[in-house]
Amino acid sequence: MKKKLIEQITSSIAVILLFLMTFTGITFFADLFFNWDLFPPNVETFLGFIMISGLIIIISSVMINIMINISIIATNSEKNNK
Amino acid sequence: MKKITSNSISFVYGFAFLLLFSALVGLFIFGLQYQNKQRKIKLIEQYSQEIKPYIEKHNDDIIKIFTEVIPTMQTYCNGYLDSTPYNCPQLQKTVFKLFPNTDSFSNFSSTSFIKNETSNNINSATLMELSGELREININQEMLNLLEGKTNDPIIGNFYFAYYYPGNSDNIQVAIPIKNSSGETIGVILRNVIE
Repeated sequence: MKKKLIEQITSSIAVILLFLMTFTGITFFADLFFNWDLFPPNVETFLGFIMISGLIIIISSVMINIMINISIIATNSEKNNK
Repeated sequence: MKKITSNSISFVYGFAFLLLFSALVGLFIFGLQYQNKQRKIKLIEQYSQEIKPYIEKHNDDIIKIFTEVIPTMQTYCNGYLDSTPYNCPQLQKTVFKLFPNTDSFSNFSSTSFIKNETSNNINSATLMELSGELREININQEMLNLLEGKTNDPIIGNFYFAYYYPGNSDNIQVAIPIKNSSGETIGVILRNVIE
């Protein structure tokens, strides 16, 4: 798979998930402040799991993105030096 | 005429996005607040309706628990207000007799009783577990209003588990007021919400 395509996919994933995470983060703090009891404990555990999974995917996407971008920069500078 | 630059366009888009995002978050929080309220109503309805036939059937015995058993235990049984193990087997048997498990409801064993009768503090009440063990617990204004008969509808909240069982701090209970024959609130039956 081309590096550029992977870079585009990972950055899209990161942007979309970061947007959703901002939303989820605000909701999480609202839950703490207003002392909500929205769902049964097992559902809350599952939602917590999804939130943590989302965070891990964001971190992974950003890491992959950084690595590929460094690689692209290195390749481009190598081309320019020739 | 002022020239429109790409910077001013970005600012307008950014501002519009922020407004839209804030509106979305506000709407979302409003929706969740509603969901929270609906869930509380549902749980109160479910837990109070479930115990209603039991209270009607054992009404006299439940009144005895609040008027006779709890004060007697406070006076004669060890284990109250100090850390010594509970030691009052006779009265424990009385509790089981007055509140039998024969025609029980769900999560019967987590039932407890709260009476507004404490030694000194107005923000505390006496809690008796089904085992007969007594504790003095801190209560909030909502519970105090219920115990004093200022409100009559069952309430939901975290009334005592956070204090005694830190691991179960998320647990909530439904408090159902118990009235005597003259309509006065004599105590509260507390049902732990287990899902």
